[in-house]
Amino acid sequence: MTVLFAPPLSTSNLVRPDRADLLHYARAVHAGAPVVEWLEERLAAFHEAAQCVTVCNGFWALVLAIHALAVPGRRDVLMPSLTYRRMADVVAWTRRRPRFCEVDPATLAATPGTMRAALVPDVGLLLAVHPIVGTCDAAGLVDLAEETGLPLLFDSVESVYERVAGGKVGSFGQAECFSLHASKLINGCEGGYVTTNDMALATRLAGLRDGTAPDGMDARLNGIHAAMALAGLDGLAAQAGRNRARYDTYDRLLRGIPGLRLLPFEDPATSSCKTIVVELTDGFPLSRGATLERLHAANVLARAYYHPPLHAKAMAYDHVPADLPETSALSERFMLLPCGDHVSISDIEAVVRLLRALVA
Amino acid sequence: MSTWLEVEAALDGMLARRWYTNHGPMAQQLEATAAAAYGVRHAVVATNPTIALIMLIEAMDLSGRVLVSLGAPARCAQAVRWAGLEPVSWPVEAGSTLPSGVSGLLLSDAGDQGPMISWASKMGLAVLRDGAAGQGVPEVVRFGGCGEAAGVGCVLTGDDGLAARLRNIRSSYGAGPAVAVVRTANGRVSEAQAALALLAFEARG
Repeated sequence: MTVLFAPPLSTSNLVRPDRADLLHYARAVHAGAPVVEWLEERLAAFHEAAQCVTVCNGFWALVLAIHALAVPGRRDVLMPSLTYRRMADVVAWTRRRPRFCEVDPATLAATPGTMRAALVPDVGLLLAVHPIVGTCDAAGLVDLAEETGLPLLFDSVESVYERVAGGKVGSFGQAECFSLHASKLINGCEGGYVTTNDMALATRLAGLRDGTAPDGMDARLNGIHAAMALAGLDGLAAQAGRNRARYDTYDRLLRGIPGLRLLPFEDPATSSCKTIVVELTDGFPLSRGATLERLHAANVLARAYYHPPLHAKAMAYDHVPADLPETSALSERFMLLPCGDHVSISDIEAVVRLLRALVA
Repeated sequence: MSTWLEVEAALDGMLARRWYTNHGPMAQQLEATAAAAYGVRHAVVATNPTIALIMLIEAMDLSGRVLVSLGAPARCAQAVRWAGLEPVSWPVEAGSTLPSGVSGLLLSDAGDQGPMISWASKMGLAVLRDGAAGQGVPEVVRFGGCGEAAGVGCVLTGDDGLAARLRNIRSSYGAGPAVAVVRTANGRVSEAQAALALLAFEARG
């Protein structure tokens, strides 16, 4: 296999902020301005949420939000298995047990039905996750939370830009968590945040984050990371436009390849179109493993979609073993194709030519 | 405090490399600089000193209760709790009777801790230290930098196995050879953080 790209083409966003924007905010950091608070105000407004609490990264944002929200005395956090590879570890840091549920094959997300089927009295939190492309049934999950009386937390890391029936992502449930890692839509280098409409929860989270609560820790966001994120927010609409051009190119070119289905954004005009995911259906001649192997040989670093699923991984901490055949089957069918700031339209054309050659 | 021109140059370097985090060249340089400056085999940088302490306690595989120096910063007891253990605030005096179920001693006192460390070792306690270096036990120090509220945390150790576990807990990036750990976390230091911490480190001499 000929190496097509040097350096390799990856699936990480890695958006470079406008230099003048970054230096504007960084200079304010250097002068001691409250840039982290500026970012919190901007993000709350962006997500149409009352409050935003920034955290040093998305991992600890999830840990602190679960710690703040889970019903005391109940051991389990109910969550999909087809998700972020560290999510079970996140739950373990809160000294609770991950309990896994199935996902809907149409959305790759947990639904009110799949969560309800896995509910037991020991569940103290519903942890819903938006999939990499599209969204989960946020309104339906809110209904389930109200019906059961359980707190509902969304991991919305992959759906920063989206709007669903009932409002903007970031304004649902008790709280929603996001990441500012460089691979995400808003590049803060590192960073994370939690949005909520609950003022008391925001105060509690800030106390946990600042370490002023006895059960807290220092997990404050670095000022320079806030400056990066603000510059990223300034350039977000332009970035979405560039992503749409990449998505449209994949959409146009992949249509002719049998067995390969591009996961569609419901409304590309209002989506970030950040990540490109394809399904290898039964009509595709190669397994996903063989496909990835050949792409990697050409320096096209496509990635398997959440593989292995969490319930299939070894865990050295307390957890609830699960048998999830739908999730296991789905985890073998999808992969992420190169996208983000480093990927040009001509790169995409070359990647699709390579995929065509594999099929031929 | 770094000058604005130094900060600007550091950020320009990051933009030119387009490498923002995941244990890039600046984070690697910060670890190498710290290891050389403190004369230790391993310097493992982390998001901030609290997260460095949490990772260190996790990597040391302590159990039950951990003695924490009386008057230690709040982060010490908090880190012990987040690692799933019970902190016991304790007036540090060599020769005291130990509370039951104790596996470790977290010192936060400056100056010579040699007698304390010798006594704790005789009692079978693992010893770690926050906020100061030079005693030959795993120690967490802090590097400042523009925009830092807490500062970058850094674990100093001569123990190859402990350093490997710390790196595997911190992130898969820069983890080195895979070793078994119970839980991973995110303790990464970004390229911006590392570059600015290096400036502060160099300014301090």
